[in-house]
Amino acid sequence: MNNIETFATMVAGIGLFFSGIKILSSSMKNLASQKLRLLIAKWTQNPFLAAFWGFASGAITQSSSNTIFILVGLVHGRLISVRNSLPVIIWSNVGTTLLIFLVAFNLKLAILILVGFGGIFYGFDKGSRRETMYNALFGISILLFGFQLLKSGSQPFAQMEFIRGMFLYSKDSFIVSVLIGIFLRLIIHSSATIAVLIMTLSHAGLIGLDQVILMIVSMSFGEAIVLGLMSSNLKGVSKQIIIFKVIESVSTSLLLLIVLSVEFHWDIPIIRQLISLSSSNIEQQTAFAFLIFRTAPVLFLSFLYNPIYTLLVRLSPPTSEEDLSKTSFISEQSLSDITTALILAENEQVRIFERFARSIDNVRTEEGVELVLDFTVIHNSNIFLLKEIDLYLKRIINSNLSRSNSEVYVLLQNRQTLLKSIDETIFNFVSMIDSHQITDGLNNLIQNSTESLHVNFITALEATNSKEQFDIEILLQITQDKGPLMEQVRKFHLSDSQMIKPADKSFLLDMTDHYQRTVWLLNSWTKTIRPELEE
Amino acid sequence: MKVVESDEKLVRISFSGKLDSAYVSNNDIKFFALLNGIEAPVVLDFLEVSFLGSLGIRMILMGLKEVQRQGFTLKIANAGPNIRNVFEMTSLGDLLI
Repeated sequence: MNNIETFATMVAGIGLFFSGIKILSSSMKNLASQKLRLLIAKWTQNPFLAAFWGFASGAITQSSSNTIFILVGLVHGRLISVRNSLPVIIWSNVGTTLLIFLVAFNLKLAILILVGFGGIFYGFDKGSRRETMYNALFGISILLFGFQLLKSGSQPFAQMEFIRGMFLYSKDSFIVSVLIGIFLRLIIHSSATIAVLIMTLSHAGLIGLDQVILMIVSMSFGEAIVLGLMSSNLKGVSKQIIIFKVIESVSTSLLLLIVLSVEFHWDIPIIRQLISLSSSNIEQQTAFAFLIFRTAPVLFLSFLYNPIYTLLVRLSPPTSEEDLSKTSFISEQSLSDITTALILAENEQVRIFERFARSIDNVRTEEGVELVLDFTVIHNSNIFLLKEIDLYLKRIINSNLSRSNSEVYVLLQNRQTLLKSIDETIFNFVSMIDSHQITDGLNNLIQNSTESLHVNFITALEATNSKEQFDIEILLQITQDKGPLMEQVRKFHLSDSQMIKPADKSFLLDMTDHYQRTVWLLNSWTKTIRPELEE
Repeated sequence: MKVVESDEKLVRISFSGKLDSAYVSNNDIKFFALLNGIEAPVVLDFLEVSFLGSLGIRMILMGLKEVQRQGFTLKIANAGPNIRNVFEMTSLGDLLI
């Protein structure tokens, strides 16, 4: 094999290998986004099933980082708790070793047959139900075939003088091997992929077992850096998952590096000795090194889940948005009694309703207004909570409802629609005032509008809770149609060019429109209080 | 806030300054105590009121509820243009002025 042929074979091998990884990951992501997510959510309540799912997820996606970001999504969506996800994270590491063992053993004939059948299924399938499975099969076969090509091209490559010289430089250096491990993990997303590349280098005789072990052990430092960068926008509970992964990666690497230092320095047989005894083949030794490295956290972190979880909560406490997004009344258990479930759903809705006045506080100019919550935080948590109530109400409608419960259900559905509209309108109203450079000509109008809407909301909340005739009548009075009044306001301000600047005109129209709409929505809300009063 | 007139025909209470959150939290108990056990219609004199905030409006509405419960009326007198605008925005002008 001449130099060009060697180079071409390796490039082809690398290309096929990465294509295989991509096909496999994307087909598995489809699966993960549909059924796997729901199953993980349900099964993680059992620690053994959680461990199994972690292993399966790592084995399928071939990246513990992929599992991490799936878990972040599940935790953010409240499908699983951080505490229940810890075994999944630990065991997903172990799952990633499966591919390495497949690669480490010489399965040339089996791989060729797999490529043949994988390609036929992949090529001839036209959107059948098994499409994801065929894609995954083809991805695995391409990946393994690519590795075979890479291996065959790497032997003559390793004989080249300058390549030998480059790796010889790192051969006797503990630090250089560690840095190579970190660097590889920074540029390649999958630890398993790096292990395979290291295997190729060792197969070609470019690096020895010591370097293999050091590179594998130290790549977690790189993973910690990557996770830190990728999660810089995360906060609160979602970030707890990332912090755990960083703690796990760094502590495992540090611990193993200390043990290896002792072993190398004093020549005491510990990990290196164990790996060298596992097989005489350097590729299989690499696979065992990877297995030990990935299994170590299971051994020492499995007993520390509770204290680690306490630490995670202290390091990254829930954000106010996460706190506000938690349901206070509705729960899975309360669905057993429909009458109670409906009362709880109503209480949850009122909890959202009482936040609207606090959103308006963000733009009230009155002195002494205590601003407790940012309107964007309120809006985001309301959206989440409204979805939770939607799901809860869907569960209720699936059961047999009595006539009186059906009436309450319809009322709650109407309120749900109103809450969504009010939330959106108030968010827009507050946003536009918050972001607009208010000129003197509009100062009074904005102050009167915000104070007026504020009193509307606190009166509506009182009427909703008390259901008293007086409160409801006052609410109906103050939520009368504001159309004619807003028309007057617009004409008055727009006709006086000294009072209003050109840039304020569209703001004035939008603001008065949102004001009018909010009052109209509140009037509709008032009508959802009446039936209970009449009863 | 003080009672400037109280007989069998009218109870007149005058307010001054800003009726904002701070004012309400310091004076609402006194206000409701004044309205408790009245024996005549109530007039709130707003001649010296410079600002009316949402909690001020709410306090007046609660006062109205208390006065109506006792069978009397509550009205606002001498409100300046700014205060009238607030009542106009809240559609309470017809009810209170």
